[in-house]
Amino acid sequence: MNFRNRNFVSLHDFSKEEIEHVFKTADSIHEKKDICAGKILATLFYEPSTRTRLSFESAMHRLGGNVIGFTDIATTSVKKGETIADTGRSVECYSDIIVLRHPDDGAAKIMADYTKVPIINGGDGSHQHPTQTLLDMYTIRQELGKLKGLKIGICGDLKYGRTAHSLAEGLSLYNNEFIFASPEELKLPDYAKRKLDEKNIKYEEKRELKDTLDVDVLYMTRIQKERFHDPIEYERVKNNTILTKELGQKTNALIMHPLPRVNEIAYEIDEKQNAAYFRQMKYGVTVRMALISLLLGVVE
Amino acid sequence: MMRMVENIKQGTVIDHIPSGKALDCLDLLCYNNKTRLFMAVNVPSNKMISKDILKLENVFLSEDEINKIAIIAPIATVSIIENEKIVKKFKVELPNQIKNFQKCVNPKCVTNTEHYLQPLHNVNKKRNALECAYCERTLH
Repeated sequence: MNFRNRNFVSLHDFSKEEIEHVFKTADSIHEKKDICAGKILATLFYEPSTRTRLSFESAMHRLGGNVIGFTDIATTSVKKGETIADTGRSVECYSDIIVLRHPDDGAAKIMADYTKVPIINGGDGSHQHPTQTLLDMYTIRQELGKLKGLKIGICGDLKYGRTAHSLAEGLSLYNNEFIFASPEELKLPDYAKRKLDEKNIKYEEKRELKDTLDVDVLYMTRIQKERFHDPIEYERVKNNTILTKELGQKTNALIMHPLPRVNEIAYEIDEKQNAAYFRQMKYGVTVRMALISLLLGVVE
Repeated sequence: MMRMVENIKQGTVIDHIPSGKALDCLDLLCYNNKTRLFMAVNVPSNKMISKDILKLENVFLSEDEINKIAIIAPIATVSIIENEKIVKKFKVELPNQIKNFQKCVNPKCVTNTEHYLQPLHNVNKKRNALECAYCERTLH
């Protein structure tokens, strides 16, 4: 399996076997010291992020490498109108691998098309955030010991939430069932359902979280008020997708969340053993360490 | 039977285009030659009740160029004419990608903001649909 110099723009860039190889590499990546010494990771963040950027930077530091980049385009030539292609071609002169976050759908592919160093998509608009999916899958694998034969509940904003679509896509590589819970306004779009139908994946749709508790994994996402045309409608449904202390006691599912959380998971749940959302962040660093090492070709 | 469209001595004939789709095919082929072009629209057909036909005089397009019309004319047949004789005949086949067909329908797609990019669509043969190669949004 050869990962050297490849891009990771979309989950489809890796086969199921390759995804599993990333996970196997992650299992022992912390034992390998300074394998990226002398290598430079560039983090180009055209929009805000806490976890993704810091997680990638932490991963590179832990591998012994260095990090450069920007987090505010106001201080760069992007402000002067520089294209994504030209920014990529410039930054590749300074670095060995690039992580890009951009507000436009499909931006990571452009940078990948115009540069020779590996490009990792750190989130492009509402299109893809493939390393989030990798870390979500790795979390399930580590916490439950398997990725197949599971019942997965995904709750919250299923219309605009790219993590929900990507996770469903990633887990549909295995024999899993899904329950999707969301307000009518934010239900899973037809194109996402079509992808599941094409693979004969079983799924149900619910409107309330309380109908989604009998699952192996409960993946919560944030609902944003501004997604609703009618604020009264938001007020009416907002509590239907909140994991309260009471609902939390009724489920033994592994509880996950890509974070940031606003109010969709009660703080009392944080102490429960099945609340995995902070451990999820740690797994994220591990998976990204494995991914960076594989794309740089310092491990095979 | 009266001949409806003049024969061409050399060039490309595209037959079995669905009725009313001949202009769309020209669009798709980015046809802007100054040579003569004959178009027959709503011609009776045994195979498809009625059809359109295009005859492009002195124009020789590659199979790759012509194949992109398969998305709107899936059973079109193409004849290459030289000295009034058919020297090559083939049915169009859906390619894996189609360049420069139509702008991506997703206003947030990067192809609509980065001016130097040409629209590029992957052909999903299972669903007979076009998906933007950048944002993966379905066009048809």
